[in-house]
Amino acid sequence: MLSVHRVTHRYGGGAPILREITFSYPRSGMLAVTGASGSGKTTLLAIIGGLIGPSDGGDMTFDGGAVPEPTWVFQLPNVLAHRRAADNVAVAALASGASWAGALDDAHVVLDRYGLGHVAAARARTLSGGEVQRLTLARAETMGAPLLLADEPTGQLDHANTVMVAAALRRLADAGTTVVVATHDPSVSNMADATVALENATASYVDLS
Amino acid sequence: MWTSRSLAGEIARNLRGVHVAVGAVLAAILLWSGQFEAASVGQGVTELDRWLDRGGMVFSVEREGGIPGDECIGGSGGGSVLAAGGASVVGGDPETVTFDRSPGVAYSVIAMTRGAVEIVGGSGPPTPGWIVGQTALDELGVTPGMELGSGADTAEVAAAIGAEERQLGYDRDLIRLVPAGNQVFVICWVELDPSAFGSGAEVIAGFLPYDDAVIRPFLRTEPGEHPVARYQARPSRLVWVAAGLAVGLFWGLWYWIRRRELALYRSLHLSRSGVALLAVGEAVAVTVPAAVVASLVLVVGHGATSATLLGVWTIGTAGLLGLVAATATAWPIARRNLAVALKDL
Repeated sequence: MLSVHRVTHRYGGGAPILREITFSYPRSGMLAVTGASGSGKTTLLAIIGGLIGPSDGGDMTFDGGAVPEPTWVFQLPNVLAHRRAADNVAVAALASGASWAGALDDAHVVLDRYGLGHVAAARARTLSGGEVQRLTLARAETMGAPLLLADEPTGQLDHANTVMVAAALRRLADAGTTVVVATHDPSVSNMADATVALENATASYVDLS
Repeated sequence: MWTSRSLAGEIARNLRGVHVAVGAVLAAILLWSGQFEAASVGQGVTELDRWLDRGGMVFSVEREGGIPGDECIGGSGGGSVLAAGGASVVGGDPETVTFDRSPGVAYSVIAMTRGAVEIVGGSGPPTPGWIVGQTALDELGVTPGMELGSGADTAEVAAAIGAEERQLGYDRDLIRLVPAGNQVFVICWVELDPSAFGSGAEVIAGFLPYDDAVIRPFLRTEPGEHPVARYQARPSRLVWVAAGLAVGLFWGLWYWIRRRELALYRSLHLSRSGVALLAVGEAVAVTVPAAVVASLVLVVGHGATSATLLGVWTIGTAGLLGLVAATATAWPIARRNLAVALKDL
C-alpha cells in the first residue's frame, strides 16, 4: 500500500505547488496522477520516489515501511541507444547479480510479452518512439522493483503507441507492481485502478475499480 | 547488486566500432608526439655531430634514478645523443667536489669527444674517489686516450665492467658501452651532488682541452641551459602536454555526449562509483592498447633506450589524463538526482 500523508511542497518562497496532499492507494495496481501542466504531477512523483523531500512536511510509506527505490520511466526515451533491444532489457538484470547469458535469455521472453520480440536484435536507436517506451517498461519489469514511477511516458507518442504503452503499464500492474503514472492522457488514466487529480495544489483521490 | 564481473562485461559490451576508430586516432596522436620527440633527439644528434666534428667536447651532468637525461644534454633522448656523438668520461677530483653519497643516488658526469675514450676521474659508492669500472678498465689495460675498437675487446670490457658493478651490489648498469659505427664509447656513471654543479664543472673543466664559448656557459649554468638541451627538451615536452590534453579533452567530451547513458546506469541501481568505473574502464580499454601500439611502433622504429622511455611517457601521460578526464566527467554526471539528470540532460 502506498500512503501519502499531508505532503506540502513549494519551490523557493512561492505558493505551495502541493498542499496537504493525502491519499492511500491500498494495493498494487495502477494509479494515475492527473492534472494540467504545472499542476505538480512530476513534483509529486519526485517526492514519492525520494528524489526531493517535501519542503513543508509530509511523509510517505509503502506497505507500512519506507518507500523502496523505484524504477523510473520518463517522457524522453532513456535507453542504451547503441546496444541491442535485448541488451537494454538484460542489463537491468545485472543489478540483481544475474549472469549475462541468463539475463539475455530472460530478456527475449520479456520482450516477447511486450510485443518486441521481433526487434530484440535491433539497435535501440533504430526503434520507434513507442517501441522505445515499451522497451523501457520491459526493462522496468526486469528490474523487478515493487514500485514503478512513470512521468508522462506517452507524452511524445501518437495514439496507437500510447495505447500500447498504456497496455504495457497495465500488464506491469497486473503482475504485482505498483505503478504510479503521471499523465494527462485519458488513454492512460482510463486504464488505471485509481486516480489522483491535482488541481490548485490539492488532490482528489478517486478509486476507479 | 552489480558485481565486478558484470561491470567488466558492460565495459566490454559497450565497446564498438567508434572505439576502435578513436583508439586508432589516439595511437596516431601518441605516435606523432613520440616521433616529434624522437625527431627532436635526432636534431640534437645532428647538432652534436656538427659540434663534435669541429673537435668540440660536450659535458653534462645528470642525476641517476630520476629521468635519465632530464638534466642532460640529450633530454630524454640522451642515450641517442651519446650514441651518435661518442663519449669520453671525464670526472672531477672527488675530494674537491661535494658528492652526495646517499644510498641509491647516483649522478653521472659525461663528456663526449669524437672517438676517444678518456677516463680521468670520478666517484661512486661505496668509496669516495672510486670510479665505477675503473678497476676493470685498468686490468684490461684501457688507458685514458685509448681508442676502443669493435669486437672481442669491447665485449671483454663490457663484461668486466658489468662484473664489477654486480660485485659492488649495483643491480643495473652504471657504465654503458654504446656502439656507434666502428667505435665504442664508454659512459661512466659517477656520483655528484647537483648543488655542486658549479664547482664540479670547474674541476672537470680543468680536464677539458678546449675553451669554447658553447661549453663554457653550459659548465657554469644550470643543466638544461645548453642550447642543444633547450632545443630538445622544451618543445618536445610541450608536444607531450598538448597530446595529453587532447586525450583528456576527448574523453571529457565523449562522456558529456553520453551523459544520458551514464545517468541511465544510475537508474539501473549502479552506484555512482560504479558509473565512474564504467567510464574509466572504457577509457582504459581504448587508451592502453592505443598507447601500447604507439609505443611498439616507436620502439621498433627508433630502437634505442629512449624509445622505451617514450613508451613509458606515452602510456603514463595519455593514460593518466584519460582517466582523470573520464572520472572528472562521469562523476558529476552520475549524480544522485538521476531523475533530474535524465530529464534535463
